[in-house]
Amino acid sequence: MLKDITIGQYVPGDSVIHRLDPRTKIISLFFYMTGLFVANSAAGYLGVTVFTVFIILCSQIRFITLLKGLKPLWIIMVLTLTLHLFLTEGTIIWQWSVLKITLEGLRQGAFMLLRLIYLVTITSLLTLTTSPIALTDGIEKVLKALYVPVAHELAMMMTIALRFIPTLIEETEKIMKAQMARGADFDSGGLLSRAKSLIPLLVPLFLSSFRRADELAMAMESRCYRGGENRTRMKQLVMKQTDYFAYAVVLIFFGVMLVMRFWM
Amino acid sequence: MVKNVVVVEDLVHRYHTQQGEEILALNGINLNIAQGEFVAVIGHNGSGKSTLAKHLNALLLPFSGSVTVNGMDTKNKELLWSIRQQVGMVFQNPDNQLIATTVEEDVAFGPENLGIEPTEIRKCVDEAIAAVGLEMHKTRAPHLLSGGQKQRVAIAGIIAMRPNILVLDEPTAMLDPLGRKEVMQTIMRLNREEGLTVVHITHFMEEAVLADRVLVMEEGRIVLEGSPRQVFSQVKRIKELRLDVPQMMQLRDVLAKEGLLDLPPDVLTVEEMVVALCRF
Amino acid sequence: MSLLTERVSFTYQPNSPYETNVLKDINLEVKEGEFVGLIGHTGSGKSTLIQHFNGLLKPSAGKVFVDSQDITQKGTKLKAIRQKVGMVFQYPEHQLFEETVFKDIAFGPQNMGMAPLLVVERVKNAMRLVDLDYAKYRDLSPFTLSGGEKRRTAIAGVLAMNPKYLILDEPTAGLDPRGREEILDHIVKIHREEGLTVVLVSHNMDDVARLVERLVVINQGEIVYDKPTRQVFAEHEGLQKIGLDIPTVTRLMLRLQEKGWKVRSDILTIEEAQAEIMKVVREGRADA
Repeated sequence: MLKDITIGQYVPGDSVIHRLDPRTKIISLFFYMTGLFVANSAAGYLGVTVFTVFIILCSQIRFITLLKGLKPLWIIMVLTLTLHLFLTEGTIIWQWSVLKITLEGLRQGAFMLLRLIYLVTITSLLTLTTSPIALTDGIEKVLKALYVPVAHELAMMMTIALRFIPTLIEETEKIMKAQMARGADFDSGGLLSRAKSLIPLLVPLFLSSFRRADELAMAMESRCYRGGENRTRMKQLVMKQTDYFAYAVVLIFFGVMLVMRFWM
Repeated sequence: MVKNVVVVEDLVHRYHTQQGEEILALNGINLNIAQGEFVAVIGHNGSGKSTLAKHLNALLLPFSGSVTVNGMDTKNKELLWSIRQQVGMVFQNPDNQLIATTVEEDVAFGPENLGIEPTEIRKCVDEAIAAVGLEMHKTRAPHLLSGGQKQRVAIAGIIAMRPNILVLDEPTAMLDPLGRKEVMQTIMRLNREEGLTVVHITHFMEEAVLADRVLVMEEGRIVLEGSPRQVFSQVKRIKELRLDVPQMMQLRDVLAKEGLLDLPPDVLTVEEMVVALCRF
Repeated sequence: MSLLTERVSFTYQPNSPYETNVLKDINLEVKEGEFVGLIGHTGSGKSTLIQHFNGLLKPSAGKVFVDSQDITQKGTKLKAIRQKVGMVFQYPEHQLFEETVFKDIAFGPQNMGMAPLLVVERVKNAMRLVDLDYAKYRDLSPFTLSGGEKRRTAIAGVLAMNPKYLILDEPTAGLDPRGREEILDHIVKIHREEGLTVVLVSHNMDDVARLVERLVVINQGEIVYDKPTRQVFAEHEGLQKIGLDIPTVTRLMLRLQEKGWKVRSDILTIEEAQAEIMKVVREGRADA
């Protein structure tokens, strides 16, 4: 199931969405999410649905992939639906002793569920269509534009973290196997004993991570790294016509949502 | 007159252990390396060879004595970044040198730090990747590469900064035989074809024999120095230092010992041994 | 009594775009008391193969027997198998985690449920086998030790479980010549004194030639050679074809043979080379 998580995965491609500047995608995501949270009517959610499907189609990412990405969240989804279904006051349409479902509950449940689904899906879409480098570059530029301090350092941290995730997973496996060969048991026992059994795994991992950080820092210094000052980038982020178009589309969507919410 | 690009004078490096002991990791090193030379530094762990390497790009500074590279004193803070651009360093662990998510991004890291203009960076990166033979792997992620490939990426990342001295601190220690071969071939090529001065720290004798000059270190001092032949023909001394002696030299030694065969003292390779033996 | 794989195949990530056939129909038996070498490139499948012997991996097809017990059967008590088949991975010092050397070495025996007094005995013996003075090292933090000492501590951690079979994956990786020599001496001592069956996975031809009686060569998931050491190195063409090297002295003998010298080519050590060369030279002189 871990393999099915789509947030964080990148699938190379050549769709319109893939080719957008990462900054456009990040900022658009912000406007999309706000528009999503503004919607509170059937018409509103219809609008969001149409727009979401439109974006997914533009990205050429298969619906199956996105659906699979929701699998790990099924518990939260069920919880959201049930809570709203059973706890919202209003016109009762079904009852069985203390449990009751209202019309409003049905509406709220459906809306909240959709909100959750769309949130996860579109965020996944961001990472699915944007390479890690482009993503961290985009985040760095957006943070810089917002005058966030240490924007460059944050972006560097993200890049390095992303680079080492597969390596760390490999290393965890290796250490697990070495300890299992000495009779360690990671699968059985109650919560407390399982937590304890993680020590032979976590201590070596921590230690190697510290050593790794040390060696990496030395290597980076040897390559003249001294922070973000006067640093250039080989790959430049350039806004194109499609980016301005995308901004326009998202802003229209946002505008429509606002209108639907406050003037209808 | 070939220039000396590395001049080390009476270098001493001192540090204190956890128990408060004072250790002289380097105890008076004197060394001159000429432009284009390929120098190998061997010695067992703790002999000070890694410490010496780190002085060459100012990762470490002398307690006393001096280190001058391309005419720049490493103690001069203002020259630090010039020194590090001109003296490239490759380390032992291939994984812990690569920071980016693709090969070309990683190779670009050095030039980016130097503030080089983007189109120029592209050129440096492409040339460096070609120089190590990894054009096919430009957009691959580091964790999918073999150890030897990772080290070659690390080397590319360094030469993209256009240094004239390349210092390698046991670059093959964690590689398999194939990876070692790849890396050594790359280093030899860079030395022979691009004229890069190479300082190669290793404990593999079969790598040391490829150098123009071999330095043997023990307890912070240089105890033997000379061409590979000169150094490795001193079989007894090398064995006392618990280092590897080339197999053919060992064979030559046991044959000569029994007064049985008088072979030339500097037989290094299998071919040379065959030639020497066939004269009987 | 032996370790046996019967038609073992292993496919990595089946039914995915990354599906790879790592092992193909492996039949290998390591008999009690043997000292076997396993050689192959990175990616040849040797690491995958050895992980089948202590149940860390289950074959996609085929069976694995440890002392005639089929460990691929459901319900096999793998912990007991892992006590019997000890495994030392590459760079074993990375598995150290405890506060003291004693505690780390005791981790294995304790997991196996050994009684405390027995654990102390085992730790003492294991430390003796790797030349770590019990009194000196027992309370030290493993992280203050030198690289070689750390590695020996890690190996002791496996020996302390009192295994019958010992598999070592590249035990000399990353060590300098002195360190390499020490570790190999310890392994030989362990085999001789404790009577352990040893499987040594290695890249280093010269080391392997000196130590093992039988050599198994694996390439692309298949066993290419499984013979006494000398006979394997006689297959120099086959070895070179799969990119493996032969010991330097063996190469010398082959070149001399090409030059018309009547020497044996199944030579593995310098001493043997010396003897063989001298023999021919003396005969030559006798003729003259």
